[in-house]
Amino acid sequence: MENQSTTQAKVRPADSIDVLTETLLPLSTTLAEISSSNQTLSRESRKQTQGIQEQNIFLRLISITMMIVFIAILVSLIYLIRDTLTIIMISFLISYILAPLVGYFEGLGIPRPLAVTGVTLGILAGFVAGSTFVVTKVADQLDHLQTSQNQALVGQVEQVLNSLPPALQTKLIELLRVEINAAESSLDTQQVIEASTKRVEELIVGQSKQIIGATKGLFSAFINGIIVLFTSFFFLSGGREMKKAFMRSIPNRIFEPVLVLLDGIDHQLGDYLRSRVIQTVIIAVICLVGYVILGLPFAVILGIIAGLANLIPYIGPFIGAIPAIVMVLVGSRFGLGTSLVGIAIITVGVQIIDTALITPLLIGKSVELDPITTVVVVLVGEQFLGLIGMLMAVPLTAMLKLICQELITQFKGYSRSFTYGGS
Amino acid sequence: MSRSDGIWQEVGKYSDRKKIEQDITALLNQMELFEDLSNRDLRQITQIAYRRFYAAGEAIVIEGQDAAGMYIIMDGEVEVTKELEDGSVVRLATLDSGNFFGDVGLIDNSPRTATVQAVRDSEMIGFFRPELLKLMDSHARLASNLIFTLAKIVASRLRFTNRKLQEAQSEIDQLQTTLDALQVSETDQTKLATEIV
Repeated sequence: MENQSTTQAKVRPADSIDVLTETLLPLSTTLAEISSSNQTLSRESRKQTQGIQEQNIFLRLISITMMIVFIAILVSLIYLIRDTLTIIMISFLISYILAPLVGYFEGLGIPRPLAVTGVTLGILAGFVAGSTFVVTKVADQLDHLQTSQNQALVGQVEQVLNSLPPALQTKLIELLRVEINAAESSLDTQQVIEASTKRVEELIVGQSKQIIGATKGLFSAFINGIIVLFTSFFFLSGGREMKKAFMRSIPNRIFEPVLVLLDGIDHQLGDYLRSRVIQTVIIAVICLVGYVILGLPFAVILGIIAGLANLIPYIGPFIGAIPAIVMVLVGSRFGLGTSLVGIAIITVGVQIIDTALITPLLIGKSVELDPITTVVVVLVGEQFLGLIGMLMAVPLTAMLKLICQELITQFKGYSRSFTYGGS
Repeated sequence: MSRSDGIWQEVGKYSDRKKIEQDITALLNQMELFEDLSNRDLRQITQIAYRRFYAAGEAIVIEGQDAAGMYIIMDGEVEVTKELEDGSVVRLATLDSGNFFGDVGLIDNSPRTATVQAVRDSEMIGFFRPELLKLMDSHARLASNLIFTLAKIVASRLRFTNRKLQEAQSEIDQLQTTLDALQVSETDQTKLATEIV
């Protein structure tokens, strides 16, 4: 120990600094090299990270673009087959509404195929009878209106003509000439009559074309109605098998939760749709009673229109009142002003009853849509399917909302039970 | 494949389905749960049954998961296990063809009390609460018969469990008495030892 300390004491400070410098110099060089290589590495890694980030952004952009393209294709496809989709959706809704009735008959001991056939035939009979009644009633009313209007018009013209002095009668013939054709104003009275007859013929042909167009429309609606009924029949009779076939494709691990989820959706949708049907019927009946009191023609049809229009929130009741207002102009028990006030009272009254009683009792708050969503979906529905789209937009959106709510509830329950089960 | 092949395939599928339904009805006919039901009722029950296949080792029901219905073993073997508080797993039973489990799940959705796993590839027939409730709407008498039988089975199990509990209680009492006697003799021995010392 003592020797060592003596040797250390003999070493000069300058020598030790040289030794240190000699040792530190290569070290600092190495450190500088390491630092430089680190910097290079970090630059490279930064470049690589940047590259990966750019690649990620690129991939994300591609995926977003692909998603947008996919959605666009899907929307275009839906738009292209919208008529078929409408039929399928309406059939699905009808089968949903009729399912409890089939269940009721099954409960009475009637086999399901027979119950489904019976219910469908009953609805078909009702549909045909209703269509016949409506068409006959409309034709009768139009015929009556036309005859009475024509008679009234002829009487009025005769009255006016007889009361006029001969000079004015000649002037009126001149006016008729102008009305027929300005270029042929040199025609004599006989020619004016001939030209008038020709004009009337043209008018009749035009009206006939309109009637043919309307008949075609009615026929097409009737055929669509029959197709809807048949599709509903297949949904009703094969619905259980369809569900079983779907459930067969579900993996064992999630079989029970999916079954419970489907049941929840089924319950919620069924309740909602049946409530909407009851609501529509109640409103249609209230309006019908009101319109009958006002003595409006086609009161039944006006009531049905008002009931259906009520499916469109906010603006629906007012749309439903428009045909009634038009009918007031055709004929009513009371004067124009009184009838219009009556329609206003019916529309507002029905709204109050609907908002205060029917909706809270039947439908509840869970499927309520906020005003902006409602307006947007009604507009989108109108864009896709016109009036039917407007009618179906809110119920379909509400159904979608119910499905999402049920999905979230089930998913929460499923994940909770998995946590609890520790599996 | 020609069109006629497709038709015959469909006919084949239909007859297969009928055969499966008949097999299920025959199986249900032998079971205690369905003993009070007529053949017509059994056919109705078959309509709401789901046929499922499980590979060996696959879980059929998992402890803690919400129950949705019951299963009947049509073919195969399953093992019922329970996880204890310390994390260990005990085997409660092994069931084979014709046995059923998870029947309480038909009544309520409380969490499963045990895990059931297929020991070998197994075929199950499942009945689920939502379908049973729907059946109640359309076939009230049939559904009430079924639920009544189910209630009888659950009541009988409850009686069995109570009996077992009583037996266990009396065993505990006996053990307690023996333990008390041993403690008394130990005290006596200690006293004797003190006196000797």
